[in-house]
This record gives sequence, structure tokens and C-alpha cells, in this order.
Amino acid sequence: MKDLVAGTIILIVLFGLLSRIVVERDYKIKEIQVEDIVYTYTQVASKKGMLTTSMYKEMSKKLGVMGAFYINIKAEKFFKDSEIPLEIEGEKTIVGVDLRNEGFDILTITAIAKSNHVLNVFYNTNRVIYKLNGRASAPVF
Amino acid sequence: MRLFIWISVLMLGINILLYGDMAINNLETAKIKYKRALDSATYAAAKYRAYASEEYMENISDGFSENILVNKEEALEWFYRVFFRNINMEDDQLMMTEMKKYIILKSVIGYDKMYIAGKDDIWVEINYEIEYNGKKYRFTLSDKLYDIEQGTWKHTRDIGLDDETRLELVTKHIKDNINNILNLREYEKNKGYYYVDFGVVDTDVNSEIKGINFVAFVEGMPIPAFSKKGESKFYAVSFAGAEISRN
Repeated sequence: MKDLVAGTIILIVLFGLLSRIVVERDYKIKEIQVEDIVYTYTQVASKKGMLTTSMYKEMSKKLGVMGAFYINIKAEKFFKDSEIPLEIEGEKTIVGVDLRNEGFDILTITAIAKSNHVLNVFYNTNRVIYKLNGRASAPVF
Repeated sequence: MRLFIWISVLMLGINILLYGDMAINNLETAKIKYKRALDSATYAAAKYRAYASEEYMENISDGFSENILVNKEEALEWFYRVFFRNINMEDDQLMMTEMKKYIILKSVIGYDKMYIAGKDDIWVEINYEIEYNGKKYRFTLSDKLYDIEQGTWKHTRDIGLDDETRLELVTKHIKDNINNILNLREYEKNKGYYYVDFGVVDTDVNSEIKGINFVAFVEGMPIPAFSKKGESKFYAVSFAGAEISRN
């Protein structure tokens, strides 16, 4: 009986441990993938001077495989005498617009997962919330 | 029961290892993030759009079309803008000030001199003064050099110096200056030794300094290493540069 109890406890703990390893790996892999996708498309768009509709769709599709994301796009134009830039934001305002010719300086793409990752179950702390996100900024000039 | 104890000990060990692994994972992620932020930021510093000010228009019409005007303050401004946006800190003044302490080197490698700034953003000017065959010359990034003793400009072929050796000498001089500044950190908590290499004797032509560059080195915010005393820290060190050219 003692052995059965001990064995059951071991199995439960081992299962918990294995689950944690699997969830952690999942988070690590997805975290890098989301970063990679956002970085790549920001770089391509910045070199081109604009984020085209096809690029945006392709990026959204790739991110969609990883989960549901809020995608925020922002372009900024700076002026000599002010640290406050002129900002335009949102898919409708930016996608397909020739940012370089419009005089914009920096393009920023941010993708934030709509929900927290399962990893939070294992690391139940208020200090860090595990949520997939990616952010990249690049000059469009 | 003994089996239970042993397995418990084993699992506890695995747990500790996993926590350590998280720290290393954080370090790897931070490294990638800093590297990408640096790449974009140095590119912005090198290719920034100069504000069409009166002063700028005067400067570009001075007739020295071969010489590229570099405004180091403006380049640095663009560098910070793009860097902080990439690491999501642009709206947090306190964090930006803190982070700047870990960007321990910024340098503009110019045509006839280089400028280096530490974490305090104070620029130091350094000439390419190099000794060759017992004589001191002020080198440039082209084949022209200044004979300090005679006070005249010469070509490297006039002193019997081939192009390959010239590039090696200048690149080594630049590299040594950067490494010296990087390691002037005796009062810092992080005593790690850094060594930046451009591949002076490399066959890879892209690794030599041939044009005007903006380079930067970042240590990154220290990441706790989960050590016993909690004093050890990881640094996600990264280095990047971009060539400056104006069209």
C-alpha cells in the first residue's frame, strides 16, 4: 500500500515536471518565432520604405499560427526642435503608404498575444507575466 | 520509501537546473534582442535623415564633396531613438537613463580620425597616428597620409606601403582604441574583459574598416544568474556597426 501511494505521488510529480518542461519549451520556441517574424517584416518594410498589404497579410498569417495577436503598427516623423514626433498609427493608416516619401523616419511593429501563455500556471508570480510578444523598430529613411 | 526519497531528490535537482536554464534562456533572448536593436540603431545612426537646417545646407555646399559630414550628436540621437524603441523603453526616462549606463561604447570612425564616447556620451577625438618604419604618420581611410615630421600630405606608395598593410595598420589602430576604451572599467562592478575584433588579417574583405562607420557596444542590463549568493550576473553583450554614406 505504501509503495502504491509513493508510486502515485511520484507519477503525479513527474507528470507535473514533464508538463512544465514541455510548456517552457513551447514558450521559448514561440517567443523566438514571434520576435523573428516581427523583426523580419519590420526590416523588410523599412528597407522598402513601406509596409505593403501583401507583407502585412503574410505577417499576420504567420503570427496567426502562433496564436491570436493584437498587431500595432506605428510610424514616426521627427523634427529638429522637438523630441515629440508626429505619429500615425494603425493598419488602415500605414499599410500600403509610402512612408519614406511621406517623410517618416521610424516604423515600429508590435505584436502582443491576446491571452497569457500557459507557462503562467507554473510560474504563478505577479512579477513576470508570460505573454508572447514581439516588437521591432527600424528606420525607414 | 527509499526510492521515493531518491526520486524526490532527483526532481528537486531537475527543478534547480530548470531555474538555471530559465536564466540562460533569458540571456539568450536578451542577446538576440540587443543585437537586433543595435543593428537597427547603428543603421539609423549611419543613415539618419539630416534635418534640412540652414546650417546643414551651408555645410554641404562647402565644396568638399568627397568628405562626408558626420554630425555625431545627431547620429547618437538617432541611435538612441531606434535602440530604445526596439527594447520598448522609449517612454520610460528612468529606464533609458539606467540602460545608457550599459551602452559602454559608441564610436564614429571617420575619414582621418575617430570619435569615441563612453556611457557618459562625452566624445573623445583620436587621430590615426601610427608609427611606420620608425616615423610617425597620421593615416586616413584612403591611401593619403600626413607626414607629421615634414608637415606634408603623401600617398602610402611614397613611403613604400602597400594597400593591404595600410588597411591592416589602420584597422588594428582603430580596433586597439576601441578595445582600450571598452576595458577602462576598473570602477565598474562588472570586471569582465571585452575584446572586439574586426578581423584585421582576415581574408574576409567585409570585416576591414574601409569606410566611415558608426559602431556601438552594449553590455545589456545585468541578468541575475540564480547563484548561491545572488551576486553573479549575466551580461547580454553585443556589438554592431553600420557604414555611413550620404547620397
